[in-house]
Amino acid sequence: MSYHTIAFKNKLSALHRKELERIFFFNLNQSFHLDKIQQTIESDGLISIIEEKDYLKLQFENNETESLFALDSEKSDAALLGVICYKFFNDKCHILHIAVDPDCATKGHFESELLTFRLVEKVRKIASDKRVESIILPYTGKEIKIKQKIIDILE
Amino acid sequence: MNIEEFIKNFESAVESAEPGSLASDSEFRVVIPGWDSLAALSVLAMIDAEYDVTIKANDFIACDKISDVYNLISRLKQ
Repeated sequence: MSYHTIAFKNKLSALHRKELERIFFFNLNQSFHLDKIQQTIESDGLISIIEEKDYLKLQFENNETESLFALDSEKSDAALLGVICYKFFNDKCHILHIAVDPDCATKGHFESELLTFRLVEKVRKIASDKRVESIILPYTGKEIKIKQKIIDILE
Repeated sequence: MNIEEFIKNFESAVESAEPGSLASDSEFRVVIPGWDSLAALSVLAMIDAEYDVTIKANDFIACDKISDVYNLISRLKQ
């Protein structure tokens, strides 16, 4: 099985604001997790899109978080495919939110690209370098050991 | 390890799976309400914790039925 190359960035050009809003705030696939998303907002605060020096970042009201954006290429006109927000706390990496384009989600046209797994694997690698013990999944609170590789793809 | 115990663990791993709702020939993606990648990640975490086997997402998505996942774990444990 071969996979399309995905570009992962920790900064997103301000040109992607509408795509980010569509994926992050107007995503029907998130309706199944609505209660849990509400709980995340209650603990970490409302999420807003902040623009700084032509780049966008996602900011939780009560917490300093990091974001990773997935794009379909390195080009300036690349399409935004998904985003994952996470923070480090008590030797663990907590994933607060994952949002992917409906086409890349389960039952989407590009489901086979396994985007959510690739985003979590990217964060696992980042967390592994910081020597944390585990990753906490969003909405479920389930824990993945840091040594547990999620997917075999060379990015 | 036996299939009955595995089914219970599978149901526990996925919040939207009702206890007793799954059988070995259940096509979990079809029968579990709201099945998505996060549900799959929860199952992968459970398998690693309970059976000390790491299944990659690439292999997991090739499984259709609960028994396919169970057989994959059995093969990897040998």
